[in-house]
Amino acid sequence: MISTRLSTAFFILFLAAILTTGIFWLFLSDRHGFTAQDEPLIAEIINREFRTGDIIFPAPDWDIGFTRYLRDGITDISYTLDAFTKEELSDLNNNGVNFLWFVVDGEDRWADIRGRFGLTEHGRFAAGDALIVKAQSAGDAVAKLFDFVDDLALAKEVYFADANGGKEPCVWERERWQCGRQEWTYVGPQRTLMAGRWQRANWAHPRTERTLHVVFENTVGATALILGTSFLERAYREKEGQPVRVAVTADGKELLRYDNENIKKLYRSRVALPEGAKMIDLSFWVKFDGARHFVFNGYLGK
Amino acid sequence: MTLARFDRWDWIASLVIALAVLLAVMFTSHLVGLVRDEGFYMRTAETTADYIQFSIDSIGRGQFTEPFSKKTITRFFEFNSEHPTFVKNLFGLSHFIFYKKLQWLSFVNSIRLVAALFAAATAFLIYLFGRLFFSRMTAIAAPLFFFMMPHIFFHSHLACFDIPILFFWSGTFILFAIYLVNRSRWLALGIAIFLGCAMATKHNVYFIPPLLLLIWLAMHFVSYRSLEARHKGFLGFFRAVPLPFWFMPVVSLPVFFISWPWLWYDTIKRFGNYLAFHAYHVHYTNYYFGQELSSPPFPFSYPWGMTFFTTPVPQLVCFFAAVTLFLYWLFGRGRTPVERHVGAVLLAGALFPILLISMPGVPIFGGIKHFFTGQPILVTAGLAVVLNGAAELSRRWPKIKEQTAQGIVIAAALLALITPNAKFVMHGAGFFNDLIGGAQGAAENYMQRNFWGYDILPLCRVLNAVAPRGAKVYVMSYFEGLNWNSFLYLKKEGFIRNDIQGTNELRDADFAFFFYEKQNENVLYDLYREFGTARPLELSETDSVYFSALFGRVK
Repeated sequence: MISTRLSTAFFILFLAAILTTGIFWLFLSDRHGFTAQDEPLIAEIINREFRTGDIIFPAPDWDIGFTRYLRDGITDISYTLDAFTKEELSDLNNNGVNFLWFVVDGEDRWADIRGRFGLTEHGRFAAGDALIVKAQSAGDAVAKLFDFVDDLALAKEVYFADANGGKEPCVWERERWQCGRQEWTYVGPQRTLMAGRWQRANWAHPRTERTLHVVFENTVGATALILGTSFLERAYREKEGQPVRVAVTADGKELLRYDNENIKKLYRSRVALPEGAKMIDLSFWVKFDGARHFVFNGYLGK
Repeated sequence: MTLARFDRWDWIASLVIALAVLLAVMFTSHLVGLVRDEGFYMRTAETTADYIQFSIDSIGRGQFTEPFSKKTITRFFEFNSEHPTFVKNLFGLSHFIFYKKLQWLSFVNSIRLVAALFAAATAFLIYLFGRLFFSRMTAIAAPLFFFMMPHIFFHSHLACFDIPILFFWSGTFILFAIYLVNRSRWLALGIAIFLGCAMATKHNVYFIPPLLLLIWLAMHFVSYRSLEARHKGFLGFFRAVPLPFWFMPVVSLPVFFISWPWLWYDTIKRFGNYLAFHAYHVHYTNYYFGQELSSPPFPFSYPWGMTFFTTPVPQLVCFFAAVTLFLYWLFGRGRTPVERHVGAVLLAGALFPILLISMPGVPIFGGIKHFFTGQPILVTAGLAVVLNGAAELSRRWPKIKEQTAQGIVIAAALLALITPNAKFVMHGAGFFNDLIGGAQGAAENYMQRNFWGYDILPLCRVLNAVAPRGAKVYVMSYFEGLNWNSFLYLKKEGFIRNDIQGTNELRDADFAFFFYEKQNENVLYDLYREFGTARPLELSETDSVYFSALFGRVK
């Protein structure tokens, strides 16, 4: 056996471990999060105050017990607050969202969130020990006029084009542009994770050596365009997945072109539109379409 | 170094402890849902049981060669041929006897019985190790202590290879250490047979022979001056090679080959496919301190950090104590060559599995089950050090007898471990210790807390209560949710009502299971939108941290 001193030291460490294990698992392991008593109170406030277009951020995001009491129809809940930067949260707020609701387990956590994201408080509600805060991000230079997700139905034209100029038009049905018989060939809104961040975005799975065009008419006199694109997790998990070539043109003039690589990344671009720009064409092309789970969002603004 | 005698009382005590472990595992089986891998292995158990029936029928008809023909072997052993069949054969045999013939056990338990038997065998192995190298008190306490680690107890239930390979991995090193002390020829042969069974269980153990050989070579040349004359020189070198190494190629390889009928035909091609499958294994996403680990290189710290944070703290202290002891045996002043050799062997057996997974290209998706194989060695030796410390203190304070002091400490430790084990009996794979803040601390740090759809039983109870006849439930198979076979077996076992149908299309579903994994949160958002609600019908939680949920469509 080892020296007396060492084995005695391990014995004392062991005694300490027994003590801390006993105390922690009996009294301390469930000390954070929302209490069972507070959960209905939290839901009651949200059920009353939440409006369509708002987003709820629970913090901590691992305790969702209060959702048991939510009314039907409240589905915009994001569990990805930690993934956002201040700029991205601001963009999300501008992207058709009215208010951000923070369901937090204490004042300290709220102070941390408010400081990190530069939020402006618009109201607060106590629910036992929990706190529900209605807030907005500090704002963005571009004011949203036309949202690519909310206003997708207003797209002028959605179609796949082949290399010879052939067109396969998509038709609007069941709240999305259906582009063929296969289930995945459509352009339609969803709530999803773009590089780990909750977003409302349009599913736009491209097809092999065809270009997907989503054309919007600039009826709102926008002078700027914000575009976000990303692969979903299922796509970049495929090691050999092909990039998607993204291009934006205004009345035929190219404003933006890049390759959305097969990685976990939210590509976010802001481009100025030429004065009087009418037709904005977002196009997506891929060499091979295997598992190219691809989404985009963004808006036209000033 | 001498080994203690393993007497009649030791046989009684070790078998009683092994039986207690077996019963504890079997009586809690109904609390543990079917993990993804069980979906595959339970299906192979069915086909193996069919093969046994087919063989009996063929032999009964006088067609003695039919069970061994290429056509028959391909028919019954092609499925899941990427894994050897030793344990799967046992799954099938147990299923055949206890479910199909005797009907003593349910479908699931007839297969899981094999895992429970391996857990019991591990308890015996730990007792043996503790008794021969340390003390009877260590031998009695160490198995109890080992199975009060939530990850270990959880995996002991599963009809998978993880506890069997843990038994074989630790067993090979322990038996080799015993051999180094007693030099028994029968034990040398036993080690080779044991290794053959280990190879036929999982490929982890392929590393053992080269590792043991390297250690022996190092020990041989380091202690060359003190070797007996007959072990010196060129011929002496071969005389000095431990007997198990001679047996391994001639005994272990045939055992491996005989146990796996799939290799009896097209051997080279099929064995090549098997190696290729594991050499180029796909990677599945795993979260570690908020990092999404979906493809290599993986952080070196991953298996060390996971071991540190997923082992209950008392056992963790034992791990450190064990490593210190082995290092002392290996490098301590005045140690004999045998002690140094035993120290090196046990150190390698304990830590090599973790070191291997530290390599940046090695798949990590299975979490700690892929590198906990050396933990029986760590717990036992570490506990011996701790109990030695208790004995030292009682010698200084003679009012308390040595064994009383040790008994009190062990009882206190087991008592402290009851609560975490009770809390995590259903979520054992999601256990994190108090050093990270338990389940809440781990969730706050974005550690992986769920793995492929096992946490389902509380959801099934609610589903059965509320689902109308013929309802469809989304099982999330495409997104690391429930394995389709597991869904079918849950129905077969009666956990899910037989009229409820499964689907992998949310659009078709009336209900949906959601199994939390960070990278699959998008499924939750799709589900909210499709069902028109974020309100779960049931949540499966521990310490307010949710693991999985059941939803019902409202639109």
